[in-house]
Amino acid sequence: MSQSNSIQTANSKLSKNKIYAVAGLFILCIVPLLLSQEQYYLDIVFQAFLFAALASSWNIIGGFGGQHSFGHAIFFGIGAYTTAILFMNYQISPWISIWIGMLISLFVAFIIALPTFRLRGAFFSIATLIINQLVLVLVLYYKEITNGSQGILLPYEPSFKNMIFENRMAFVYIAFSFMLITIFVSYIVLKNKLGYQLQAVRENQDASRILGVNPFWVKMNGLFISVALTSMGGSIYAMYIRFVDPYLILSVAEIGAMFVLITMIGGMGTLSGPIIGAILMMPIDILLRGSLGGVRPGLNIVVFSLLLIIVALFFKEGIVGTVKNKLEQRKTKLLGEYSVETDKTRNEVNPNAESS
Amino acid sequence: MGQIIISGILLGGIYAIVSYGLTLIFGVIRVINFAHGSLLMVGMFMAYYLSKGMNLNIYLMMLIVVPLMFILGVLIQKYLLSKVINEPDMQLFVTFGLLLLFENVMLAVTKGEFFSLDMNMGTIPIGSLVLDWGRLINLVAAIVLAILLLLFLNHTKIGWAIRAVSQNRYAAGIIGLRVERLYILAFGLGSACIGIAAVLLTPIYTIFPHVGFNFVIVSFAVVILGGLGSIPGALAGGMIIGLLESLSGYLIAPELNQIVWYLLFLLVLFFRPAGLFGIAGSEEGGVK
Amino acid sequence: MVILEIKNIDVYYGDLQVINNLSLSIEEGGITSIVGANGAGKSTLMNCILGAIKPKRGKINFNGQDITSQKTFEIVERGISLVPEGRGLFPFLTVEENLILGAISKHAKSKTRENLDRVYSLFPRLKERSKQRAGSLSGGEQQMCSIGRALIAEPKVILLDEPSLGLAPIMVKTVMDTIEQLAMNGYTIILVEQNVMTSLGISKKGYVLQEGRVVMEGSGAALLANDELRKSYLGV
Repeated sequence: MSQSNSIQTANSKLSKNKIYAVAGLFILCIVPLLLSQEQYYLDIVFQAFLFAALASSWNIIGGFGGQHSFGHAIFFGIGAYTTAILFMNYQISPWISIWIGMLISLFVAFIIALPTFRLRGAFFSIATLIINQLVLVLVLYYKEITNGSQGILLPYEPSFKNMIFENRMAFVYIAFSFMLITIFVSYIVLKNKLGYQLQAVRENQDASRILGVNPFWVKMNGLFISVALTSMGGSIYAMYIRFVDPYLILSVAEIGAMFVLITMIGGMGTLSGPIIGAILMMPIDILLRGSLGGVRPGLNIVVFSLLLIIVALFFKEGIVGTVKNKLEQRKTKLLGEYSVETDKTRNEVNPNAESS
Repeated sequence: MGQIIISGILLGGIYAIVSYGLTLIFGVIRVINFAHGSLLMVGMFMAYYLSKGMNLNIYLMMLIVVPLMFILGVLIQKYLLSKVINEPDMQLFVTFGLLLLFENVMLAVTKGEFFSLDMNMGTIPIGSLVLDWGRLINLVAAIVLAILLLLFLNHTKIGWAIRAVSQNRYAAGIIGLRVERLYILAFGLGSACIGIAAVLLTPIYTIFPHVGFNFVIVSFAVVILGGLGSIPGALAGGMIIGLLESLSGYLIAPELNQIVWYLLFLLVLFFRPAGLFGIAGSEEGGVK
Repeated sequence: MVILEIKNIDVYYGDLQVINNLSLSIEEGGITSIVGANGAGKSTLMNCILGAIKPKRGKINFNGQDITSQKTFEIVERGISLVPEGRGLFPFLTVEENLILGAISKHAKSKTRENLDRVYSLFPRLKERSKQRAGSLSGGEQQMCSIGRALIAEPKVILLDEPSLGLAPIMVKTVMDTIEQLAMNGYTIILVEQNVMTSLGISKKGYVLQEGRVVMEGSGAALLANDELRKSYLGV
């Protein structure tokens, strides 16, 4: 009796969460329409959606799998450069090159992961950071292909085929769709075997072997999905700003670490964490850059970094985890032991991203 | 070619001295400190402003900068990192936050200007070779500091206690060592070493808020290459990286001067994580 | 005379209670054994006496003084040393460095040299290996080093947590002989062992722990003769 009851509550809770999620996304979907006349605000909305998607992509290997890569800018860069180079030199439509970029990213991810997945914890993070710098050096050196430190400036030739639009609104909805894709993919990963296996590896890599999990391939599969999406984001970003600047695109501080920090602040290893992190942080960051940054460069990031330190020290589970815990505490008080039990039957990820 | 090797060794001295602080903080007590380079930058700005303000020789600033950096390190460990002593991931985030904080506070203060001490100490010609005074002083200091640190870690009780804490924190606690204090002391000393390096580097480098970033990467490479926690390893690691950078800049291409040591570092990380001079297995403690 | 008295302590790990209203009183001198299955709370009790874990309720008195809220280093200074489970050596320090670090308390510090020589005469093997890394010693030698490190702190009471674990049978005998020797020299020994037969055999008193409670106590010989205990722990 009590069991069937708890399953029912679990189901109703799951569907309740789904309703919240759909409602939230619907609101996000109409926000751009309200701002349609304000190009500045549309830029903010675009960046928020894009980084929400990118942080979500990072979260698949970094949050679910606990592998804190600081080198994801590499795949963002591969997407951006592939699209830009093929567009400039061969007039290949970004709609096609986006897939080519993904393939190259998968290949590069495989090469990088072969040795780096032997490393654990901070050693993995440090290795990915160094590889990121290595890639930057190579990109700057092979000028014939990449145009070196000059970067690649793309011509303004609006057309659907070129993925260049007169109206910024189109990009906002491309970024929105991209975000929906990453949420959907993350959801699928989480609800399937790969999701459980990634979490098992995160909690205890050695113990996961006993459960018949091959940590190397589990991480590799997680990484493949993560980098394919990241590369897609790079392609979209390249066509949006039409300037591929190696120092920005391949920057650890401004791109690679950003994915990590947004996810950390939002709630690592949760579905909604990276999205909420980006939707909150990106507008604050860009608006502060406009106001404070105008007075004193860097002040906007000072705010950001203080927030990061506070979250890492006191709210380790990020915004989502902290709020969820608070709600659950309240509910436990109201309902007694009962609802805690139902909660454990849910498939939600433990936001405690402790790497092993 | 002789000149290339000389400048490689001098560069090695710079990389070595920059890494000693991280050797203590990451190598010995296994605290992941991404803020290492930005602490160096803060120290360089301190040295620069103090030397300008008081109109005194830059090397005298060590008397002020080193204690200040010690205090800064103590505060960071005591009030921030001690809260996440068991969580390497959170250490990474906190220190990354500190990196962003220090760099951007300095960016706001300086508005992104570049500074350099306009002191020309000149060079010493030896035959056909030319040695830069600032770099030579730094090299000598790097060797002296290595010896002092080695003596401290291997021949004083506090040195043993600091190493003991990093090797078995539980056992250190139950025999009556005051674990938290030792962490704070070690971080403070590491930070003081960064202060020494900062003063020595101020006459050599142009100072700007992001000057530390490259040194973070170099330092992690030196510390891991030399073997976590090994002071002679850090000196040797610094020399290897300095020479490789100098030689590959000359033999391959100036733009690719760092690529060989990046690759060497990755190879060591993958195949001999204890480092070239570390005891096999010693890397397992603290950081997994 | 009672040297160590534990009164009604409760110890928790988070929400999990591992020690439940436990009381012991240890007489000065001789060996007291604490036996019990895995997870009975033996190691927790050791750590609790040493102040590494604080009890939620209850009191611990040492030499008539309340040490419940004192820090570990203060308790070590008063004269309680622990030889932890798994030896707890610092593997990359030398044997001698490991030993000297044991002399942390004020009164022990001044007599480090003297005590070191005493440890070396007790364990000549350690003297031979004094410059070797502790991690390179055999299991038995490591156990001696760990006991030596406890002795150098000049304790009155020595807690030993599973000293025979993982040792070859011949080594177990040596370690047990050493412990008896220490008791004869006037140290008060509290011995936690899986090896119930041996440990009760050399103990003047024994306590049996189960799920964080004392379920039986008595002289070592009486407990060894107890049918219930023999059934559950000795399988005979």
